[in-house]
Amino acid sequence: MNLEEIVRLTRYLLSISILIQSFEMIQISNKLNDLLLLPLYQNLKIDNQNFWAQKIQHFFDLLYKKYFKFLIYTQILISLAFLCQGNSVFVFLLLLCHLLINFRFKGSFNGGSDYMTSIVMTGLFIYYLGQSKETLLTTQFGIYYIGIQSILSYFIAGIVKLKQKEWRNGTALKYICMYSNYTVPPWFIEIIQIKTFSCFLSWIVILLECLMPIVLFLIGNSVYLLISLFIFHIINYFLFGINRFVFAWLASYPALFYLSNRNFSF
Amino acid sequence: MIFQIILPLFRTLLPSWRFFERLTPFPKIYYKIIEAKDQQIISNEWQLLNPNNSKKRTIGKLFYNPEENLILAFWTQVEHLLNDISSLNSTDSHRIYELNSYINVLSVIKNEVKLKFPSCISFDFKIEIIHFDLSSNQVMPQNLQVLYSSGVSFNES
Repeated sequence: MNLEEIVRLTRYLLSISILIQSFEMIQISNKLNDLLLLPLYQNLKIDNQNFWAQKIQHFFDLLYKKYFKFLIYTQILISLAFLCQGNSVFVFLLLLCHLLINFRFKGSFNGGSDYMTSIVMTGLFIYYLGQSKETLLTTQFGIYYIGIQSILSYFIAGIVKLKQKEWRNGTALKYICMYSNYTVPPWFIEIIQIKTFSCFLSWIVILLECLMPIVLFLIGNSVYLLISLFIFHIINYFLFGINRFVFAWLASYPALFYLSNRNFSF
Repeated sequence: MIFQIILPLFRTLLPSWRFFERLTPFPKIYYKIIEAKDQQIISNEWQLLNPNNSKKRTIGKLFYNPEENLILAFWTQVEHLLNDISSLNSTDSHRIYELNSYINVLSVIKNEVKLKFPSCISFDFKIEIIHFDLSSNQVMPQNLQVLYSSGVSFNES
């Protein structure tokens, strides 16, 4: 696949991911009048604000209390336009909508998936900027940025687990399944308490995350690895309910594929 | 001041990717009904708030799962509330009940209690944090009460 095909696939996957997030957010916004009504961009009302702070606060109050749904519909329209036509303006507007929607929830609604969505948008924005100036280096940098951040997302998460004794012996995974506020299926809570099983599963996660960059570059053709990672995210959805992660990370896989097929000369 | 307000807008642009770096304590919320039209539901026992939709995860929900994502957002709000409480200085400590995160968390608790016990008039709730003693490999968590709110009434605006 050449760079243009990689970008086209990334654009499709990102647009689908944003459409899924947006339709969910419309349903969620119907409940926001009763639940989680107040935006979290400020903790307490501060009486002695300066003029501009008050203006900014007024703008966001208006946006989130009156025009939040309008913001989501705008995001849907732009992502449909982006699905048909890739350019820097559409992806910049998408990034702006994404940041504004997340700002209502103190910067992030859904944690990691919002981070990865922002990363893919930023990478594509850099690509289209480079394309308009006909700079191959900048266009490639946009895709490298997505690929490297995607590698880091697995590698750093793996290393921090590897460093902890409770992850290496399976206790951490067991405690997360038993006591965290994710709704984990009861059958899985039962089997995760078998020490050998929790230890084995922890090591699969640690190895998959830590060895991912090495396998990616050594093997070159990374399709099987990307399929394994995709299955890993699907399993996480069935165990923890985090469906947005599947599509957010999927949008970064074309860039990973592109990165793994480069011949780097060090 | 302006910088402080605006900064979280750009939060998702700078990821750390340190998922589960530490086994952070998990918050749990309990409530008990103190006043109700139906006297039988009044209890001295704390009940665990468990706002899960308990529906099966299907392939369809992989593409559209708003209920579960709202619940996940609620638990993130609880974490924000705990952070907000710990960052309040001593002169502001009485303002916990004015925190946006407190008001949001309370709105979800009220909704859950009302759904489960429609005749409830008022209730108490508390947030506990489950800590783990990893050094001694203790499986049993230790509970620590971090917030107690009494007499939450449905008549309040």
